[in-house]
Amino acid sequence: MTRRPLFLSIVIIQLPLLCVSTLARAQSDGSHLEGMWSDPPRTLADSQCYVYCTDAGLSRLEELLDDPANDDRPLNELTRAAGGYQREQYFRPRFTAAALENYPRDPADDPGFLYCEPWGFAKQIFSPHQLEIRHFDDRIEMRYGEWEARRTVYLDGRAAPDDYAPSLLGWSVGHYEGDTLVIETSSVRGNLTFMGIEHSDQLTAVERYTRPDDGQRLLLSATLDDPWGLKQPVVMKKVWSWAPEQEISPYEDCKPPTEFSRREDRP
Amino acid sequence: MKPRQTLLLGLLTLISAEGVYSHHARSPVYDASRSVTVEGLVTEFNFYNPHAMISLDVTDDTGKLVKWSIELPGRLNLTVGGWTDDSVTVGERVAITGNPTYTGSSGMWLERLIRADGSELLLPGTERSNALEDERRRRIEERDQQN
Repeated sequence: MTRRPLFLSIVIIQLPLLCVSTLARAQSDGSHLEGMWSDPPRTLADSQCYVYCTDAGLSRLEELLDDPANDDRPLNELTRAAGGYQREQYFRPRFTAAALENYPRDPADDPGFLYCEPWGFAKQIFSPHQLEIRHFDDRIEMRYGEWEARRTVYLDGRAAPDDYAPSLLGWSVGHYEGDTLVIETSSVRGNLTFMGIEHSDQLTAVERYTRPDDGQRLLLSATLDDPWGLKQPVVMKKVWSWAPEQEISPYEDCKPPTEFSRREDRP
Repeated sequence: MKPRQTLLLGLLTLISAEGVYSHHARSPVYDASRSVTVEGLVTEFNFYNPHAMISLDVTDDTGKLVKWSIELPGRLNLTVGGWTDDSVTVGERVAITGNPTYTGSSGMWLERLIRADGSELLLPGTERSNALEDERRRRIEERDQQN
């Protein structure tokens, strides 16, 4: 067989498959994301995204791990250093002066700690442990293990009612771009973020969920913007692993602390 | 520091990252820079969310009975590591190491639990920590072989 017939045979075989594949991607029904997800695979990179990660932080960790001078340093030192780099080189330059006024917040001021107040959107979407996704014709239901929070993402493009007041988890609409679930969220009540700053009710977010070909991981890339707190949008990522055996258990025993100290009062 | 302690510390820093994601920040209550160990009888194990709790009867050096409250990750986290509500049983004798409260009250955040037979009831992140250390060792070996 000459090279041209081989090339042609490949094209003839591959073209219909490509068309079918493209059609299938365009008509994704979301079933590939459905089910139970939980903590990420036990790899260095994925574990950095246990709660959230950034490309800057991941790259920095790679550099540190690749440097023989660090071979004898404990792993936690390197992950902490990568986290510090992420904080100072990626996040902090993007914070506005208003956001930096109360940065970093004392954990003792967190309403989740003080009053058992559930997390808002900007923390909930990165919460560790279980995430269950259920797909319906007109919506997606997302249920999180942390706080046993529930979210509805409308797929029919409906706008928030005129009288919709900013809420804990906001108003979310979604659509598919191929196999990628894209969710746009707004009308989120001002609250805390994992970046150490607060956000305003002007926060908007675009989440993109994908399931790579091995099927074992769910990836989130979320772009957050907030004219009050951010000079430019930030991109935060997260990884879950497929966990059909897991269940979401009741979240019913949160008690406010009976004793605690503020940061300035600790040794 | 012993390798095992280093592993655990690495795990705790990487996975628990207090103040980063814990729904209930630990740093305002527990001093992560210190560890204490107590031994006693389990009187209660509450396998709840957001945090589980072990109650322990401990006899101190003066012979006085002290009731300790040991806080640990919640059910949503522990089940990832295979824990059930039978993982700790009332009446069993355990040695528990953890971070004490700043106030000196008889409470701590659990770091390690050793049963009477010497076996350790591992927290969910320990296997992850071991896997990460293995991956790191492999990376170093592969790099050394290439050079």
